[in-house]
Amino acid sequence: MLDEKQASDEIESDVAELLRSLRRVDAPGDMLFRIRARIADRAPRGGLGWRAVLAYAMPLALLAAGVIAYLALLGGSPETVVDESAAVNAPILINAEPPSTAPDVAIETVATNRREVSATNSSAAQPSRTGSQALDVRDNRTTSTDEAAREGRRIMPRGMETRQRDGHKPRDFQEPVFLSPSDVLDQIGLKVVSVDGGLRVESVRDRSLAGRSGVRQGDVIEAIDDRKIDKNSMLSVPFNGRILKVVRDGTPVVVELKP
Amino acid sequence: MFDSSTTDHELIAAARGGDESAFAEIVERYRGQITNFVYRLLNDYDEAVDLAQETFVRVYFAMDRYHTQYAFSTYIYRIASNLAISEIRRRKRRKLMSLTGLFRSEEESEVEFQPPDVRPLADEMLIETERDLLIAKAIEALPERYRLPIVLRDVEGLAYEEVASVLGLGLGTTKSRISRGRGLLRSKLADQFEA
Repeated sequence: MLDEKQASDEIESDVAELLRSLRRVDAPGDMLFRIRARIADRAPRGGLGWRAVLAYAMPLALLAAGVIAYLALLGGSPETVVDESAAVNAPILINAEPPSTAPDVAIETVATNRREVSATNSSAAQPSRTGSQALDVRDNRTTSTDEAAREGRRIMPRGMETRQRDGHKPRDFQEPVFLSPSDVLDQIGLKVVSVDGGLRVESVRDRSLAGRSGVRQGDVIEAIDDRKIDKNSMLSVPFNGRILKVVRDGTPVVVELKP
Repeated sequence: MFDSSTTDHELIAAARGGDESAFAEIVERYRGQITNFVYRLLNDYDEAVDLAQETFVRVYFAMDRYHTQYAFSTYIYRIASNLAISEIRRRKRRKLMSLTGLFRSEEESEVEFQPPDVRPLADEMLIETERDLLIAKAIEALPERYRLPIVLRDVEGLAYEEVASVLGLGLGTTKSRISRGRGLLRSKLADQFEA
């Protein structure tokens, strides 16, 4: 055992000796000059280096991106904001006259609302939809390009041709517009504020629809046409509700609006 | 201005203060060792000179971050080792790609992998004997994990503790690798020992 170790040590010693005997190479004489040239080449010059750019430009860029994102969020995607409130609060759907100059995005938004509201009203078991469900409804929309690729033009007998295909509305179809309750009720002469359980009437305009029908200051409107309302509800314009359920001095009262 | 009694740390301190001659003294002290060390690892003089220069450039720019609790020789050998390891691995990748033929465009397909330059240079200092060339080839053929400790210990003459510190290994591991590397070299250079 000892001999083996001794032999191994001798071998290692031989190898080490051999390596030590190797001729050493030297560096070129102008190495210092070359090194200084490299250092001068890499030394930071005047102006902004990439580190400075990273240090200042990146935070500024992030800040700008954040501001843009915030503004976009604040302005909001009209579809998302209106969809969720409309779906959750089951607004009243009334045939309406939207502004004819509404931008395309607004028309898309309202069209989406209409589908959701229709679906909501048609199903008593599902009084409300979540935001994701509302998105699903949107996803099922088809574009005119898709339709064109799938469906051929239906040929009708002479004289019975129609430019409107079944199930599709013309482009100028008038969609309802939804506004907050205070804005809509203002049109029938009521100034309201939100309170627990509904909307309290702050003032009633003389000779207005509400005034003529007997709505009084201090009434708390709980429901319109059997649908509860609060500050988050969305009402269609123009308003054509018929029955207001109000609480007057603690007593429930039904007020029928008289056109 | 500086003599041999000036320590490395004193030179670094002076160089930090803007004394260019202190840095020149550091280069003068270590340029031969570092060049020889890298040359024995790569067996390519031009590349060794290039990496040795790069080592000093990095020392220059990292001088403010250098901690004097470590020996400067350990520090500079570690930088040179890292550069050499990167070069060894880069060559290995190039060789692999050359063998597989991957990642070669049509223009490059005609260019063969360039092996390390083993031609003796014009400088008479580099005219090596046939025996030295054989040893150099044997070292070059060693796996990286044995090559570095062997060169540091047996070519550069560092102590085991210094080798361990340069490579960031334990003392036992370092000794084991050096022993194993010597065994491999012995088998590769069997003819030299029988002669």
